[in-house]
Amino acid sequence: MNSEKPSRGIGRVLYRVFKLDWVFGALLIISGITLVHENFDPEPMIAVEPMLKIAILAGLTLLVALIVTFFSALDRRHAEDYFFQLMASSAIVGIVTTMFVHIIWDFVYGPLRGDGLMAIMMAGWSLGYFFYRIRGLNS
Amino acid sequence: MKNRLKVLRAERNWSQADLAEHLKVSRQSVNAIETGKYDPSLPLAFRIADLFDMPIEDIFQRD
Repeated sequence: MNSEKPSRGIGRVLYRVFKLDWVFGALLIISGITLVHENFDPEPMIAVEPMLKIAILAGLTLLVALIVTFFSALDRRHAEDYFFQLMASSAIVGIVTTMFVHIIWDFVYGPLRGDGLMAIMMAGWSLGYFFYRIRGLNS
Repeated sequence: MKNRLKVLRAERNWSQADLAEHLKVSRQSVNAIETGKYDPSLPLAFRIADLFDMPIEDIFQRD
């Protein structure tokens, strides 16, 4: 049995600097800024012909989904299991939160714009992350 | 799931950071396992068992 104290590598030192907590904290702040910007200074929308829009969005969704799936598999192999589980569980919170907030808002006031949805999803993901980080993945 | 990680670590006079170093994970992972906030994956559970030279079931027990 190995009982000597291990040395601390530079990797661990770097890890302490770039904590995932800071990343999700920043994401939460960015989501707030996006939400404010989206509502007080919205970007003008460019009108695109409906069939072209459907074709581009379908193709782009397929392409991005494939790329994200590939990198997610890489991430799963290289990231720590604890943090991968934290990110995956909180991503579900983000997605479901976005869906329900959009449904409620759409029912009362009409559809939300893309940036607003992105802000809600980022906020939901961040809040989910901090919820699981504090309460634990078994909560 | 309950575990004896904190006790086993204390017996060796290791800090959470020391154990994390041995297991090649972050201190947060060790803390999350010890406090029951996270059940480790099977590969990590095997690494823990190998490190303490004990069967997995002697370290992790069902609630």
